[in-house]
Amino acid sequence: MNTFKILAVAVVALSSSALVQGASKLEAAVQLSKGKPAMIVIDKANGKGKFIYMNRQTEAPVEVRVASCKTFQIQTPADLVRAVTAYRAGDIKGARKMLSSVKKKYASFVGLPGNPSSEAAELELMCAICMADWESVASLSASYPGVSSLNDMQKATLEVAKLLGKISDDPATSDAQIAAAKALQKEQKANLSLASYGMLEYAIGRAYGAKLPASLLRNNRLPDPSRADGVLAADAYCQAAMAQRGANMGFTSEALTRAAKVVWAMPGNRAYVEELGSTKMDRATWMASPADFREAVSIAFILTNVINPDSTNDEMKRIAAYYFNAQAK
Amino acid sequence: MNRYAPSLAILAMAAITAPMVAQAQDPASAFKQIQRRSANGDNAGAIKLCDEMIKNLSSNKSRVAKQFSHMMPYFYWQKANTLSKMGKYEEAAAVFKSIGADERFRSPEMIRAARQNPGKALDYTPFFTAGQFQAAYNLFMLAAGTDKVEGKPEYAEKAVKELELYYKAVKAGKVSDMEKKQKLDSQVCFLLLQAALLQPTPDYDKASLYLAESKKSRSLLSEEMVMNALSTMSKVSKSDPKNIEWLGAAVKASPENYNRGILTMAKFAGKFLNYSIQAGEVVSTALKQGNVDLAVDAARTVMTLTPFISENDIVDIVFNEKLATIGESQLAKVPDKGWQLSYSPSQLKQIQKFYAKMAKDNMPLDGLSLLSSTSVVANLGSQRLSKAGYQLLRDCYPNLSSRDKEGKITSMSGKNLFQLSQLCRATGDNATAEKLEKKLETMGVGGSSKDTLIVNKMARLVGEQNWEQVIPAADEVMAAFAGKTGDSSYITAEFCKIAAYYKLNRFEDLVKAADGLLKSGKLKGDVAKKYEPQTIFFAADSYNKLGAADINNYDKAIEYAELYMQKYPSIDLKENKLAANLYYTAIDTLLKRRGKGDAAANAADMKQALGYCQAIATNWETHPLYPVSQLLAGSILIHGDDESRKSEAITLLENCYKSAVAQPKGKGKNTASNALFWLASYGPEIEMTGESEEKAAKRINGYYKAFWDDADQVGDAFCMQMGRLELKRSIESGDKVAFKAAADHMFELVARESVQNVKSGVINPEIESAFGDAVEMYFDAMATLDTELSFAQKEDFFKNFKGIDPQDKSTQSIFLISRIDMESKHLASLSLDDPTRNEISNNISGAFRELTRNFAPVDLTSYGAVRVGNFLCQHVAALPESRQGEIKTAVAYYDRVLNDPSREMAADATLGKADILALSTSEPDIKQAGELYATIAAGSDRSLHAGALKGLTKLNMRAGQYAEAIKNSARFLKTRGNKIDRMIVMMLQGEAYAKSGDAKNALVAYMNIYGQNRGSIGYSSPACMAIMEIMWTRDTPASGDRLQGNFKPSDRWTAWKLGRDFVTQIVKSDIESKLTPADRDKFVAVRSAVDKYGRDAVVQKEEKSAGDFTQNVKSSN
Repeated sequence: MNTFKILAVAVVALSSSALVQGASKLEAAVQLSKGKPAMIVIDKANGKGKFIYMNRQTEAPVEVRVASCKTFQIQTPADLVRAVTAYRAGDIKGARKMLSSVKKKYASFVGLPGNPSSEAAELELMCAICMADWESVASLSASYPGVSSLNDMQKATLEVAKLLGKISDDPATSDAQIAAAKALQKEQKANLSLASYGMLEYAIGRAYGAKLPASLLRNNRLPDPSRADGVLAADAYCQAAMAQRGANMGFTSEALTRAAKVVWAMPGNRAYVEELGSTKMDRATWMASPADFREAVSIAFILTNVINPDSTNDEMKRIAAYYFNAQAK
Repeated sequence: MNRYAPSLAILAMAAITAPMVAQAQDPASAFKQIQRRSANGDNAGAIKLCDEMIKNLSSNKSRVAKQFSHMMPYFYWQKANTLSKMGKYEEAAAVFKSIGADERFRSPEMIRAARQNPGKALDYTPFFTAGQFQAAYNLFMLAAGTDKVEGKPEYAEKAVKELELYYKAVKAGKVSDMEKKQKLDSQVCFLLLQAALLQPTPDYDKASLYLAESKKSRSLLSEEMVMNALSTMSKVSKSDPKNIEWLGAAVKASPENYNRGILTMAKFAGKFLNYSIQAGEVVSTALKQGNVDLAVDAARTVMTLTPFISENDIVDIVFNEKLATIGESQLAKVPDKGWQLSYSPSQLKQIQKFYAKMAKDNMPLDGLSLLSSTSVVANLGSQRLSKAGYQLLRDCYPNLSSRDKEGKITSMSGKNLFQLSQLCRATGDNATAEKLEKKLETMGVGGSSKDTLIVNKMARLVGEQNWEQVIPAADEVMAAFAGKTGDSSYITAEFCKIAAYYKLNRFEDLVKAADGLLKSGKLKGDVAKKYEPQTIFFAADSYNKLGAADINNYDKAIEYAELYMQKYPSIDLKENKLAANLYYTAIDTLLKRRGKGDAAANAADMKQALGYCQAIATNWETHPLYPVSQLLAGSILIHGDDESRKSEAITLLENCYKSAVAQPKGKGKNTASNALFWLASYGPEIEMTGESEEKAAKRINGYYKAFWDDADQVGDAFCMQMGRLELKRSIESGDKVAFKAAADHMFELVARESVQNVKSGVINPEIESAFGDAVEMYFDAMATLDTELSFAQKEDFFKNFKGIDPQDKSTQSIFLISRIDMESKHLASLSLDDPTRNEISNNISGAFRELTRNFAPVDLTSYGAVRVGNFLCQHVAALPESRQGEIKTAVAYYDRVLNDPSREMAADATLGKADILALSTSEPDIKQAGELYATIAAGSDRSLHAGALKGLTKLNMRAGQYAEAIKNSARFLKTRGNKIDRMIVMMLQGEAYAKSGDAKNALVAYMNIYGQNRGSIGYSSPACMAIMEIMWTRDTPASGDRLQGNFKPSDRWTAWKLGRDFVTQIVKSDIESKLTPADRDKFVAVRSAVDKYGRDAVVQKEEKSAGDFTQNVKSSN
């Protein structure tokens, strides 16, 4: 490492932030079709792929089409850097607030490639999903900026968000929700990211989950007729979790918690647990226990030990406490 | 040097703005030159110039040296920097360290000169403090190594010491303002964490301490530092797997340092994947070693690293979008000052190309990372999560491939689908598992996966109870494991075949397979517990069923039953599920074996059977077989010879019905009805100790009541018999009211069962026999207890019987047959001149015709079908030439009986079929008739031998096979054929002898008929006629002398005399007036012959001679 670089960059960073602080303007490295590359200050965009900047020599505004530029790289404003850094650091709540502010501040630049407002909007929506704030997901996706300039994958993800925004515990909506999610999975298969595909599974899981008798689920006493829906819900939640591949920890934890809960409530489990009492879990007991028991315990264990070791969900921790390593020789 | 010149260089430049004496090698230009050389890669040249300047400035002799000696640190710095760049970390560290240690650089002049910068005054000379950091950092690099250079962990301790020195200074604020602004403490902590772990004996406490410290102050590290750190952690983990947690912990401490956005992270995704796979391997080995904590740490590491591997599609889109906006830049790199990054279009294209290749080779990194995390959750025990992973792989990465050790790319789709199929099974989704396994069967999956698939296929078919297909599936398993016949899969396949044979009633195949498996010695330990009891049970039960074909099989059945009892004596049905059933099989076998041995053996069998019944009763009182055991025990005793145990039988049968009716959902009703029927049948004959007659009668009445109240149900096997018994009892009681009630009830039952026949599609076989008896009893009883029914009333009874379901052809046919039986009986009671005979005869024919017209063979019972067949046979026999078309119809009725699995009346049907075919003019039919006759004649049912031999004799005669006819007729005459048939066969025998030229035996045959059956004109007349003709043809003249006593009359006269005597006798007896037209014709033929022969000259002469002789003898007396 070269200390010179560290010190020099610090100076430059300071000067960059001084530039954009307090002004809804954007700096961009631009090379027009003719001429040399230069740093310019964009005053505004017109939403149709054009921007206006002030020519320093002539002191006159110049309108340019982005498509005509050989280079167009918006310099990420410091407030977006802070917001995204907070997001990457896992401070979803803090990031969401900052991202909302950035989205609004640079709203006039929507339509320009790499504009901070669109980037902030995307991450803000993701924050709402990670926080399982479905109401906000609905409103954010309804008012999403610059939809026409989104690529196919982003459009598909937006459709997923709209569907997530309709999540409800009302069983009357379940079948329609399931059908819509499956239709989206099929129609947009080429455009859905794995993570988004998994989010649709979550919506499916919630829809099946809504069909389960809520009070019985709470008390871990699902009746036999609910088994089929319970299995479908659990499997959907599991797919939702696996599709994140460790990312979106809040969302993954939410899906795993629901999966573990449903499986734990499967018929027969509660009676088994009561019968088990304080029996020490050993290989024979573990292997003889019902499959649902073992499954719920394993999921809860993975949730509270691997995915979210800081979990404060006491129920999940209690379930995880039954874990036994059946692989040990 | 780039445009963002290090500020120390600015300081240097400022320092030399002071006037100076022009020097051939002035520091400023030397500095620039060093920088230029370094940039051009001339590291040796740069160092050489540094050394030169250091020497010059160290001399302290020249004015320049004195003036610019404070610049020496810059040259030392540059030298150290260059050494570091060359990888000479130890030397670089020494040089950096020396800057701080060298007292010359701390002189007031130096410090004063260092302050001569346009910026803020520095409290601490950055050369000293930053130099300390650089020294420590170079020692760290020496210890950690790079991708290309192996590290030397022995330097780690020294690196820790130097880093801690610097860290102390940073924490105390004893560093320059610039260093403070950089917030270097988190970077230093990060390096300390690594250095602590790199030590030959890792200092985990120190590592934890500095990890925690690094979280306190967050600043972005350089990409290089981040990736180097991960590389270090990876190496540390490889040397000791339990260090794997640090790989994830470092990332978790400041994830924002690692998650730099897709454009940056795409460069390193391959490394992240490798690290996560490395961590995944630790999960697996740690769990096997029983180290859950380590496994969890490793799993956390996997889940921490995999999010940094971006999805291929997303990378493609993002890169395309970025290149679209910067791709044609003249700049080698396009900056983003906000992120302190710059984008190189050429580099972006290179990365994009790499991803495109991975996609083309079906090895997208995100897919491989999903596989890695799927493996982790599987190892940790969650089948649903693991299944979810494989489902996603199937749906989103169906062609995922990997590179094997030889570098060859192989598809994992088969392997992944296989895993998914097994996980579907494990989570209860057998339907999906089966679909996948069927698909896999076409994909040519090999190795152990293929073996699993075929075993699962077999298990699936067993689960579906598709027994036909289980057998070839089991054969497939056995073929796959042919070299490992002791393997549990092979044995399971053997067992599945046995089970399939049992379900398919292929008992011969079963016993062969079961004998083989049981004798192989393979069933031991856990495998024995699993399969042996059932195998022995199946063998026992199968031999039981095979006993009908070969009675010796019952012995084998008992052998196996006893083997089971010996090996599995436990009466606890939870662990010995088949025990009760096995006992039942043993009882059933012993009962069926009756008749094989002598009386003593039978008695022993019955005793043993009773013992087994008692065992069921004692051990399994609540088992569904308990009532049956009581029934069988009761049956043995009640049908046995030991009178002293009959009352015990009553008790057992009462136990039976009481426990049977108590069984849930009416399951025991059939058993109860059986017991109650026997109780009602035998009860009245058996005295119970201390029971009065009145009580006994009440008890018996109770059986009837219990039957109708508790046991009877539609379709019950005993309801008809019970109704008949009740009717009989009521008739015997003489109570008219009871009789009427019983009769009404009986006929209601018939109607009920008729309706059930239609509903169930199964004919109650008891209707026929019970109804026939009941009707007869009823008609007879009406005569004694009420008013006798007239013939018309009886006909009406049949025609207007209420309640028979019009669709129940079977019962309707029974009614018709019963009516025919009744009418036939009535016809037989009439005299030959009874004027109603014709009408009744026509009625009977009409009834049969109704049957042939409106009832297909399957509509009739076996008895009914044989009756119809026989009717048609008689009909054809009356005029065979013109009634050939009816032969096929008759055969259809006989075949209906022959094709019935019950084999009821099969022998009669065979004979009937032979009889009708014998009437055919078609050679194949005649041949078949002969074969059938021969079969019957050789069969075990002796009662049919006569009919068959009669038929054969007729056929022989028809075919001119006189010797055969003689033989078969002789066989017939040894049987107990009826009188008419005897006469027919004797006539045929006579004819056979006559036609084969054996007049002597022909005469004997005819004489036998004539002598034994004189009154049967239909036979005695043709016999007489035949005798007359044979003798007339033989024409032996008279010989001998009347007076000598050796006179033998001539054949002609004897023939005429025989005939004349016969005619005279018949005329005198008054039989002639009662002859049927056919018989009359035969008698008339004899009389005509007598008249004709009587006119013969030889006969007349001899008659006169006989008359004269007689007259002379009289006169002499």
